[in-house]
Amino acid sequence: MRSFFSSLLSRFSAHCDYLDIRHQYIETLTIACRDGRPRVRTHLERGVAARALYKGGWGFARCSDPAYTASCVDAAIRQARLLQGAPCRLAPVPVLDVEHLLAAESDPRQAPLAEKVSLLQRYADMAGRYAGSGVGSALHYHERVVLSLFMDTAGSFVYQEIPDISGALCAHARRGANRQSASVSFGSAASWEVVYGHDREWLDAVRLARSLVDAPVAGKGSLPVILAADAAAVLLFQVVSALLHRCRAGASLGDAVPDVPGARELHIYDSALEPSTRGFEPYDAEGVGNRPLTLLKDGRWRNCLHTRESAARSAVPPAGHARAFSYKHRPRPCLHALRVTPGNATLPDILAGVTQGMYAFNPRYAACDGRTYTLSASGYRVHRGRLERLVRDLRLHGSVSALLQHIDGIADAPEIVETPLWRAGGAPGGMAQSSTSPAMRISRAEAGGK
Amino acid sequence: MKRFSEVAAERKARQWDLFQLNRTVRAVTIVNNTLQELTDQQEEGIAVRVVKKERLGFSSASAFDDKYTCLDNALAAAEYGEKTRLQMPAASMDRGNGVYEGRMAVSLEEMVEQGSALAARLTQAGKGYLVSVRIGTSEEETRVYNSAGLHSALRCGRFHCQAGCQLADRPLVGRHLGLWSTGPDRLSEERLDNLLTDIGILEKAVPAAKGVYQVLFTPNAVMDLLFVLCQGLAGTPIAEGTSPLTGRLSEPVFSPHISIQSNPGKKAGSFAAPFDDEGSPGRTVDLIRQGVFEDYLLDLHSAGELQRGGNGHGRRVRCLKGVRSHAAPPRPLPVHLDLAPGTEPYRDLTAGMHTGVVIDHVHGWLLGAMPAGEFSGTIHGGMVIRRGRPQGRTDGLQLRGNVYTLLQDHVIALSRERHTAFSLGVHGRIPYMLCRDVVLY
Repeated sequence: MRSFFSSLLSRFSAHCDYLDIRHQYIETLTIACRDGRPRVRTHLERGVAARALYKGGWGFARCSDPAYTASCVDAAIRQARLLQGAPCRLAPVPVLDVEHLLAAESDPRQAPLAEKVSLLQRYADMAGRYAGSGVGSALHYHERVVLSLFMDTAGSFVYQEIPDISGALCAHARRGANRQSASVSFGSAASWEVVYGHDREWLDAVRLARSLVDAPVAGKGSLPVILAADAAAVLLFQVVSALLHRCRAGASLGDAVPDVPGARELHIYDSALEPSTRGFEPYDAEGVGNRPLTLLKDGRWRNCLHTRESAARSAVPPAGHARAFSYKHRPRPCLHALRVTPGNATLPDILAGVTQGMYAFNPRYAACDGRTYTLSASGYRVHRGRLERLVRDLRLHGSVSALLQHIDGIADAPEIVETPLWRAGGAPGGMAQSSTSPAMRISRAEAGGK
Repeated sequence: MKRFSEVAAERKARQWDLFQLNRTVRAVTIVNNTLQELTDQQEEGIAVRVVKKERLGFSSASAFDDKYTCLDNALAAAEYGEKTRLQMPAASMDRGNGVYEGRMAVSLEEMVEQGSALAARLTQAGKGYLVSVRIGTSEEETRVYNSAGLHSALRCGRFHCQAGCQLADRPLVGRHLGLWSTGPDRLSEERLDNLLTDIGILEKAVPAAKGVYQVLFTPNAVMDLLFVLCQGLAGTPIAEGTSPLTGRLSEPVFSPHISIQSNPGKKAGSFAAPFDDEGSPGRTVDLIRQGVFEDYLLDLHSAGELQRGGNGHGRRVRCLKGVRSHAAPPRPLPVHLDLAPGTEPYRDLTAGMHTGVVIDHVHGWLLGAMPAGEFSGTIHGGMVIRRGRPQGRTDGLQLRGNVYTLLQDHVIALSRERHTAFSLGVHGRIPYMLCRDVVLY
């Protein structure tokens, strides 16, 4: 394959200023288990994407049959020539010749399907004990192994094999129109065995779903809110993604960093170099090596995510954030694994300062458009520093700038959880990303019940 | 297929079907007044579905050569698959290799020219709007083979043209419109003028407090609501008992203003076809007639579960993208919805609003608990109406609700005019919908 693509690159390099080819082979396995009834799907995919740059114009074409690679490259060059004249150049990056191979113990394909199915069924059986009380289960396991080859006319060759394992165990309970759910989610780029060991959390989730049906609806008002680690991770991921996206939408303005200040204590960064977490990807879709990138520190945004093109425009070195879900997609700046640095307060410390407030956990979904945010979660009323009554359908909303500035307490390390982004409204098996955050307090947020 | 059929029989697949998709997409995308992307994609794929020991297995691949691997994977999946009573349509149901429409004969260069002209038309309004245009064609060839001897083939060409304007200082505030047709077509001058009029009104911000309003949903917004509703009108959740409409057939469930028909053969719908993605002939279905729940959407599996004949609504559509995909198993989904119009012109509906908001899009509303019919999100560019006159825009109000409650208790009237609208793979001819007592937070 390397020599075939190499000869194509040589053949076409004279027709454009820059050309790259990505070939991918992707194997996907999805197991969904609803109330103990499993449903298994597999998908094999291979394809080639070609990207050409000619006098500032980009061309992108793809095909699902590698035999058509030459015509695909030709189409990309034709497009680039049609679009020539656009102001575009690429930030310089080192030429790489690297391979990142998947260790056998990290390859989820080595584990038998029967073992994966029976594990999910076991979780379903655990929930089944509560079936009489109206609790059901919806369990998902998703694995995706991507073998990706990148080559360009500058001479880079990058081959990497990346697994992505994700899933969620979701318990749902219902009384008429009142539907409640609680879930345990997991993700890894290292081993499918991340699915094991959730018995206690899962039973807690099942009990929680059942309790939520009987819980009162959260009240409305403007009050202090403590975001549990899971809620904070999900919400901050949405907020940071939306702010960075808004930045990119104003690309013609020079890819400035977001103009929304944050709390001084808040330190947010992104990294793709932690092999065990979702989002691990040592090299991006433009063949650039990843390095951790500080996004927000000391109340100010420090960096934006870049492709080689936007990095050149902003005169910064690219940090390996040009990602593409598959060969079908163009590389775009995208987060890998968002991290919030822990603070120095314990959760009881954070709670202690609250006379009347709300504790948000078990997020159902979060959304952010760059200016406002919404978070739907479960909650506890907080009274004089103590968690009191469980409430359902807690919805927080407000402006992003108020949210980031009103964070006045961040918990220390033990509260950190790894949260794959299922609960942020993302589809299972989407782009491999994760978010980790400690619990935090917002001095004032708008809460509204159903 | 003879060899494939023999191998499937050897491996004890009692029933099977093989779906094959070939697609070529060409498109021109103009974003923020700049020609940004040209798209040229060739895609193919197959999906194999088997029934073994009355259990269903599914697998897909991007290459036709992988069909035997796919068959093996589908058989392995069937070991754990759900029980099914589906019956593959027999050869006698084959509508015969139908060629729906001719090939799209628009070159990339012509699309660039058309797209640039349309963008210039909107940019020349001179207000510094961010103009986006997407013009494209797609050609799809689908084939379905099955163990009952069916071989259906369908080739269709589609043309789409979408245009939108956003405020330069408020990129989330804007208006979009589009057309999808089976041949090169243009957006009418009247619709473009209306778009520019609306965006002109939205330039002015008007404070609007939280409270109870009359709300006029535009066809785009109504289509999003109907997409949420379709999740409950599908045979699968009805058979599973998870739809709010389970057990309510022939009951009045909505306002008498509401009549919804699914019409898979409607030519205006770009997915329109004489048969669905399982090879079953598409039938026109009255889902809701004057508020009464009349029928539901069925694919072969849900038809088997409900022990009924299918009605040709098995579609292989990728959930959040709305495009046909070989990797998606069939599920009941409409192709083209007709929401019956009312009697009053749209302008009369707005003129009759004392204090209200016109909603075109709610950011993030498909993230709600869709099976329960819930929607929730933030309104950008809601047009405030006072004493029948548009005043300007409101930003940041939240809309939350339930589509079943909304269509049952809140609908006042539907407009006489209908427009083509699109939501995640479902098209429709949709009127404006005026609702009372809608709470905006």
